[in-house]
Amino acid sequence: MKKIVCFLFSLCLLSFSVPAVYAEEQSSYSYDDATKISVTVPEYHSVTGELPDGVVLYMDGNAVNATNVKRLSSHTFTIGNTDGNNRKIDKVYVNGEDVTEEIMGEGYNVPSVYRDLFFTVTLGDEILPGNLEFSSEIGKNAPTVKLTPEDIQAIEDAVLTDEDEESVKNGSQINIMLSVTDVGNSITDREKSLINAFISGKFTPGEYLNIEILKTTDNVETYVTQLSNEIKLTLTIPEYLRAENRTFAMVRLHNGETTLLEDLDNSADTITFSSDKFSVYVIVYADQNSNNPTDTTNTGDTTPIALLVLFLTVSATTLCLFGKKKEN
Amino acid sequence: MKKAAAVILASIITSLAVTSVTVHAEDRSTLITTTISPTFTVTVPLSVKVPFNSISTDFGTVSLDAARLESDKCVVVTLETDNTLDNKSNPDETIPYSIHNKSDDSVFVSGTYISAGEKSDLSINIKQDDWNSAYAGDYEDTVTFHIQYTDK
Repeated sequence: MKKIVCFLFSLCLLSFSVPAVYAEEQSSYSYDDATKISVTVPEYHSVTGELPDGVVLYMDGNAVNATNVKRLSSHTFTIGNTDGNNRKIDKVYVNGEDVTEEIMGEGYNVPSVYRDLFFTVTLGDEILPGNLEFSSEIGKNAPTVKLTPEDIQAIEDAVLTDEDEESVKNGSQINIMLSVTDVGNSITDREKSLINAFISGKFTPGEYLNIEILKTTDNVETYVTQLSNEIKLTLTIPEYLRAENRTFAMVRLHNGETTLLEDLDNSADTITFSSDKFSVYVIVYADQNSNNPTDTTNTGDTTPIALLVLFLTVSATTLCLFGKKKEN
Repeated sequence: MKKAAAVILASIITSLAVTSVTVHAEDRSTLITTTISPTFTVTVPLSVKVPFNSISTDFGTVSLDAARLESDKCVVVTLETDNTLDNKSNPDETIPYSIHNKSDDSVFVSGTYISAGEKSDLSINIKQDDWNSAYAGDYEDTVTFHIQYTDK
């Protein structure tokens, strides 16, 4: 019986200790929770801009509109005007940062591109003076033109009108181009016959040329066929036309009218002429000892007939005189 | 003896049947006790992708929700991080970062929470210079939130 009582007491004590253990377990505990953070850094960055017409962005010397560059690569940016813009560039911003001074100077250098670049350009009110440029273009097989600075100035003076000069002051871009083209294969039969009829018996046609003056004002092209003054042009005579005792001249065919323009220089290698009209020209020549200047075919018979006749006449006369003396 | 044993047995059975209820016959008062287990929910930030070039990105919130704590206890959330995002292709290339309390911009190391609704709004901060020098690629790091129910 005592054993039973002890067992029941022990059971009783045990039943009271359970909540205490539970409390002890709940008094402090912990757990972990993991979270991931991720990032993607792009491999390329864009280079774009909001540029006014006529303003060009250059990257490393090449004009760019919109492009991508490798991240952390190095580039230098400059900016410039083309014919389409005659206003002074006021400010240049990259992603809102003012870089006008750098980009208008030696260039805006980005040693390491780490973001997209967006260029913004604003123009000022100031009108930039325009520009006048001259160039010449010599076509295939055409003779070259010798031009001194004075010659170019004279061409510009003769081509530009008062309005042209005013528009240059107001920012216009004017280009004057003198072009010389061999038109031997494209000249019309009518043009050829007009020229040949004009020089018949006096000159031989050498090379048919189209000499043109093209004036481009702010991308608008105009062929100038009538100048305000005459200008002098010096062409190099093609090698295949050169010969001893040969004289050259130019024949101009303008609006159906042919005109002979004499060579104004003393050089055998060049021909200089003055003209204020520009269209089809022909280098013509005449050989001084030729009876038929239009027939330049070399037959190979170079015997001086007149001299021979004279020699034979003298010989016959001498023989006759000697014969009469012997008879006496 | 049998009677004595019967009395003892009866008292034991009575004590087992009504746990923690003691009746003092002398003053006739009744003490009722009970145990309420502490319960709480801690919310930690979910995984996040930081936008490129963002110097401060919302990382979410550490908060104590639906809490029923013991009066002398609290919940402590401790952040374990090496503060470095590693390039997945080349672990030598890294981007340093830090996790901040948005309320005062202090670096978040740990937070102590006592009652439901208490929270810490966090942000992931990456310095612009660190962005600028980062190589291209995908970067990643895992942070661990240690949650402890402990004494105040």
